[in-house]
Amino acid sequence: MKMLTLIVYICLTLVSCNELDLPKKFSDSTHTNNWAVLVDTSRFWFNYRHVANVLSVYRSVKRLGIPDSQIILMVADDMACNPRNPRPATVFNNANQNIDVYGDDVEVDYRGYEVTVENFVRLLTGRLPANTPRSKRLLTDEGSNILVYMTGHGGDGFLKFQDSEEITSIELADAFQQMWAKKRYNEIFFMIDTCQAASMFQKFYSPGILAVASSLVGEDSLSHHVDPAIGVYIIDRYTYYALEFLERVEPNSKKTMGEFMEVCPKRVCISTVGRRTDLFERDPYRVPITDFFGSVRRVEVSDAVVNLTLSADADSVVKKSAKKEKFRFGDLLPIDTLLSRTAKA
Amino acid sequence: MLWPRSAEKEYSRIQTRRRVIATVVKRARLLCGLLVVLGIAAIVALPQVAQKTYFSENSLLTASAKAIYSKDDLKQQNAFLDRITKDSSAFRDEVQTIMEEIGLETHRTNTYIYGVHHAPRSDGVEAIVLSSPITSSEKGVALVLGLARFATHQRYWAKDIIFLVADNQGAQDFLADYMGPAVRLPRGGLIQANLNIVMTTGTNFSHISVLHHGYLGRQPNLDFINVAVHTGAAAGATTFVEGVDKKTGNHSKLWRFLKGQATMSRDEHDRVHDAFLMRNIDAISLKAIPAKKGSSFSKLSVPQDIEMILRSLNNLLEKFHQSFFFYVLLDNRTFISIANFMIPLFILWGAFVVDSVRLYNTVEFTAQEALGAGLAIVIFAVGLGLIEIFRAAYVPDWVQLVVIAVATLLQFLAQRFFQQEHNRTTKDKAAMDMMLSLVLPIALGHLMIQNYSISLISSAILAPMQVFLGHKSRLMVLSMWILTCTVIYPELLKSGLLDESVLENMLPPSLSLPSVVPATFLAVSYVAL
Repeated sequence: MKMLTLIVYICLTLVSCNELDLPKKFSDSTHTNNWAVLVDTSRFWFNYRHVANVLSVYRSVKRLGIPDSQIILMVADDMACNPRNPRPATVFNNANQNIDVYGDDVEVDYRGYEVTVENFVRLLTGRLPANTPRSKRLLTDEGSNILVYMTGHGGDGFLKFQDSEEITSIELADAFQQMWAKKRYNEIFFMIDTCQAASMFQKFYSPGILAVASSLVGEDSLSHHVDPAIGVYIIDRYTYYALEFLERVEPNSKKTMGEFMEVCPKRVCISTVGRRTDLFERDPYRVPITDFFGSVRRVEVSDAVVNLTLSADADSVVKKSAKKEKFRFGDLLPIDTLLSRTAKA
Repeated sequence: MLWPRSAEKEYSRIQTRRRVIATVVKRARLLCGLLVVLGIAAIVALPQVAQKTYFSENSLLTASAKAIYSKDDLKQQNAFLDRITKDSSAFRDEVQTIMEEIGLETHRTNTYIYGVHHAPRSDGVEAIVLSSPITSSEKGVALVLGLARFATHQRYWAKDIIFLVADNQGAQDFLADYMGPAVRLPRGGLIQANLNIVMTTGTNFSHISVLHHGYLGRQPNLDFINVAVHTGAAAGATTFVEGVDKKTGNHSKLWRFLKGQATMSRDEHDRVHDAFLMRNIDAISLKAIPAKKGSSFSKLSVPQDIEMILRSLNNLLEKFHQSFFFYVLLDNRTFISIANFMIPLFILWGAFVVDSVRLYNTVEFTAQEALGAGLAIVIFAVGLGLIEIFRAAYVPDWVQLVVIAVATLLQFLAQRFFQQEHNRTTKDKAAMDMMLSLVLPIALGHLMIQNYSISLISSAILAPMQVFLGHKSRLMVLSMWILTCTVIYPELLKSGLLDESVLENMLPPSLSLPSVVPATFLAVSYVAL
């Protein structure tokens, strides 16, 4: 009998652990938790593809394990409920309409007009008013790896928010530096899909940032295809090919960040993908993709036995609680006190 | 004047000015002639700087969505066509019954019938109007009803759609009621655009013609025409603009330009879209031109074309405001913008200015008289400026007439008041001549905004006159020209004595009274002296 339990125990250990068995080629990760900040800055019906972009990345990131409590999703306009949408309550990222990236469990943290430059910078730096709910806060610490994905309309050195304001590359770089000074991140992976996207990461100067952009300065990022049933451009090229890559990634994937950054060569993307690796200490080709896109913990399973001895006091505590106590309802509302008080007033 | 200058510099400045003016006065005729020749050359060169049309509004997304008007919808449309007969007394009743069967909120008067489809998921702040006149053919009305039925089954409308059956007078009445204070009408929000369909009898069409000229030369935003041309190509219904057809591409740009000017100068304003353009609502008419032989597009092309245009209009967030408002179309994909087309006119008007400089310097005007002349011109220009403002707001014609009459009278009085000699002397004539030379370009400039072709043709005729004819003969020719354009030619057209097709490219422009009012009063006031 004991042998059986031992065999079962060993089998269970081997099967159910969530340990990531990395081969030696991977460098050691130093993070303890994963966060994602996904931002769409465009509104209006003809910018449907930006919302589809950000929701697709949201789906991938959620699938690979980052929980909603650690994803900040900022969407500037409601495409699913736009009156021009012939498929109400859905957002698709492909003309074959296989996946509804909106679904019924999407949690948008900053919606509509809340997506502003001020709110974005406050979110990153943590300078939010005291009454901001937890879902709107970036509660990262020095062990957090953050994925920052931004999409919308951009230009040389700026990203347009909501057709009314812009965030410049310098503001963004300063925000990241504030985060570094406050020890709000371990490493950041910055991904941006806009026109002239590379201009946004050129001014970064904080350590630990790996960046990729869909186009270089002077180039436009193009959309992928039109959905004739809905009548809009439905997804951008860079995000389309990035998602193609991510769809083949599972939580135990051995793919690296370096491979991810090679996705979408010029012949399919038409624009040139820009990269920034000088601020990042590790070699991207030795960083597992789940370091940023998933929420995989290093788990060490030990079969060493630890002896615990209960103290004498503990025994008596156990005995006391074993006694059956009588329970009764307490007064939830001290009516007598209240009545007497009002009588006085 | 504004900063201290040395005496030498002042002296040399005055010397230079005197020298320049002396040269101008001496060589005035030569300079005028040169400017006129340059102006005519600029007109000839103008079509060469025409650009290709392009979309300025990103939100239109024209022809991105596949048209889904099906054969079943077409069957229903034909069923409606069988039920309505144009000349029967029950026509209006039947149309209203059909609209109510479809599920629209309807309203009817003697001159128009309309139905409103409220967008189910939108806030009903904006509306699009789809209209067809009754006069040409019931096919247009059946098309509108068929599309109304189709529209009620779609879920993607962000604006209310109003389906209107009326001709020009009916459309004016509709707009007066809809935008007026009446409370009990079924309403669908502010009207942002109008699409008018003119179908003729017959089943074979060669192409669709976009009619975009409107009252007083108003035109819709160029993007609206771009939408119609683009969707026509996508739906298989070739779309050209007014006066252009398949063979136009074979001619030179200059020929196309001049033909376009002849069409534009006609200034017809008795079509449905004119009523909307008068009220600052972008409107076009799509006219199906019958083919002489064979059919060139399928029966679904026209309804699908209109469906795609409505879809594009639906994507708009505001009224058309991005693209050009003042333009001249050479054909459906080539245009000239105001920045370019005003240059030849400015060169021609230079001849008038040079002549007035000459006149000012041949006679001794006192400072007071010069001030009077200047004041007169300012009054006239302000009067015309007011007309422009009234044009943007919907101010009735008679108010505009009164304003310009008062302005003309005032400017005449101002100039005469300051003048010291009032008895037909050389100075008197020179003063009047000078005023005419300065005021005429202002009037022509005003005309340029209202109807470019009329201004162009008038300038091309009057500028050479300035060079070669004397004062009295100029006035005579001017008055005759204005009389011909305003009274004689339109009356001849109405009476049917002129056969348009023969003289199409050679006829003088036809003008409606408000568009030539400044020049009329001007000429009359001077001739009367």
